Amino acid sequence: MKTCESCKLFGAYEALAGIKNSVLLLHSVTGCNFGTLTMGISKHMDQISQCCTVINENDVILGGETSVEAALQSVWDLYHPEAVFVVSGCISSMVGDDVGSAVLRVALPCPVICIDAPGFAGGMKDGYEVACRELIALMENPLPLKKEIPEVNILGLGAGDVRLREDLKAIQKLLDGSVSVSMCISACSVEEIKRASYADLNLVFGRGITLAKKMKENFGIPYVELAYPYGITGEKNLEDVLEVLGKFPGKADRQQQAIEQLKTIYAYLQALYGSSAAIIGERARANGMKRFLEEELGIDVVCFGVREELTDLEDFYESIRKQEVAMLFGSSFELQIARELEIPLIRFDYPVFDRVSITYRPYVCAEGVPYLIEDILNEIMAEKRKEGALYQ
Amino acid sequence: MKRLCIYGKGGIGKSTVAANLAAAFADSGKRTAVVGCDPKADSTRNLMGRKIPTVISRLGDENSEIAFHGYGGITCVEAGGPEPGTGCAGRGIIAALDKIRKKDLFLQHDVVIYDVLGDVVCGGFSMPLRENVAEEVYLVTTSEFMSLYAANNICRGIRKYASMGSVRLAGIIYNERSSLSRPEIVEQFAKKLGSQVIGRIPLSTEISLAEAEKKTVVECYPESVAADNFRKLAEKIWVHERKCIPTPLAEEKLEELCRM
Repeated sequence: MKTCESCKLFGAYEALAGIKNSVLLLHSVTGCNFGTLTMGISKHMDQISQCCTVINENDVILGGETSVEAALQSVWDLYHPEAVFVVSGCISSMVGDDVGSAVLRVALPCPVICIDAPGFAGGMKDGYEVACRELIALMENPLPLKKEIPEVNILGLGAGDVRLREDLKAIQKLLDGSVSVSMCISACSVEEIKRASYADLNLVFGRGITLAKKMKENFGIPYVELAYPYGITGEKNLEDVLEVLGKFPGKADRQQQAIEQLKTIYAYLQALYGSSAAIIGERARANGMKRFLEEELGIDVVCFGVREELTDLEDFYESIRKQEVAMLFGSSFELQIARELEIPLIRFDYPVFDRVSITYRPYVCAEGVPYLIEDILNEIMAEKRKEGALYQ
Repeated sequence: MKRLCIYGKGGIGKSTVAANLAAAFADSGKRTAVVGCDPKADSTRNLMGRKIPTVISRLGDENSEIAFHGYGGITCVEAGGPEPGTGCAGRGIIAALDKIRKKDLFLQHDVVIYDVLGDVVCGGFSMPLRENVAEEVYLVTTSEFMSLYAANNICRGIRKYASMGSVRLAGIIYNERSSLSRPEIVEQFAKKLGSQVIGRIPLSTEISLAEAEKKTVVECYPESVAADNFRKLAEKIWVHERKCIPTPLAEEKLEELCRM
């Protein structure tokens, strides 16, 4: 069996690891710390604020609460964070560590939020949902406030997502100052989470629906579930939702600019038309990519898999083999099947660990279209045995 | 070397039986060891006259002493475990037995008795049943339903591991300490399991008085009937060879038996 996604702990990590001025304390074994750290391999070390109790045999047998207490005190002494997130993994849950009591005993001067995320009790999406839900404890009760521009929160992005910051910046550019992003999980600060309750709308990209529902219940903030806004269609879809809040004066220019850029590679785009593709990814991303490929490039998506809904990746791979697809959209984990079938792999879904991204090259909205198409074409042309396939 | 485990419901008298059997074996000149596999770490209290440091409390220190010598030169080891309500006692047993094995503490012994916590609640407490830690299991029980129920459950564990190793049920030790004394029920229970009652421990005030003195009845009241009973039981166990893979009873059959 090939597993489709990581565990609950990784989901919680994805929701919390990108929150500035906080520290994420993993109460787990060293492997969880090592594994999650590898997701930040291309980041600057200053951006990684995580630590681990490193559960050992003594913690398993005698209980790990003392280790949690010591770690919390160290976290405070070293970093003075605005919040600490204690994410407990498998061992701690199995032996029944009372992490909440340990937190109370230490009584740090900042909020400490506990998330129980044993890997055996759920997948990434479950972990993401649980972690997001707990963030409500940080949010202020909103006071009557006159705002100059409407605000939105973005839920569903993960700290290790491909092009997280570039995509977020592209969305902010799209909003063009007409609407501001109050909080984006997981690329925000503790202060922004506190003020998230003042937002006018929650945009939910696949994950974070539990928090969105809770925020609607507690603060009356409506929410909209959306596919990830790849392409011009994604941008338009986002605009349709946001137009109730503000106007976007430059939208026609941006979309036209993207179309103009593509004119130079028109022959390549023609070659893509009618070709077949397989997509596997987290729901919102997979849906967004499917829409983009089908509606904007005329590619037939013949195999489609939502990662969190699959139980065995091998089943999905088998369907790819049967369909003879020309290209595959997925994560770095799909490299093996792409090589087996000698088809290009376009990495758009978590995790991507065999590519670096340090330049501003977003994939979303009209602005991201040239970058995305550039990568699709380059991956096709880089496929050894299919060189020149675009001309066939 | 004879390696045996004493199992049974919590509070049924396993540690009393284990310590007194050990004392009786030692008195007959056998080099004896007792390993307490209970987080309470009180299996060897009556042999040592005190509680001894546990293996778990010294896990990080490879050079520290974990074996102590008590009455009759009996080697006493306590696995130990976490405070009540914390950690994983089962893992504690696994780690402790692993350390004991690595130290080869019992190479020169004639008898090693493992005194194990009330029930096979998790993989840790079934450790003495597997990986050739011991070959013979003796179940201590009264004639009350809950005690027999626990014994029957343990038999399920024995049966599971018997297919992969040498562990077998060697017999039932009937402890008559409960207000309900129905030896025929225990006899029938043993028979249905495919085993036999190998000894009876009649209710005795001397046992309690000796325990108050942190001693076994064999040491404290060697002339008593109770001490004599333990000596006889030790003699029987020493020569006992009949072992079986038990056939545990269905719950309704066990209930039926107890209504007999």
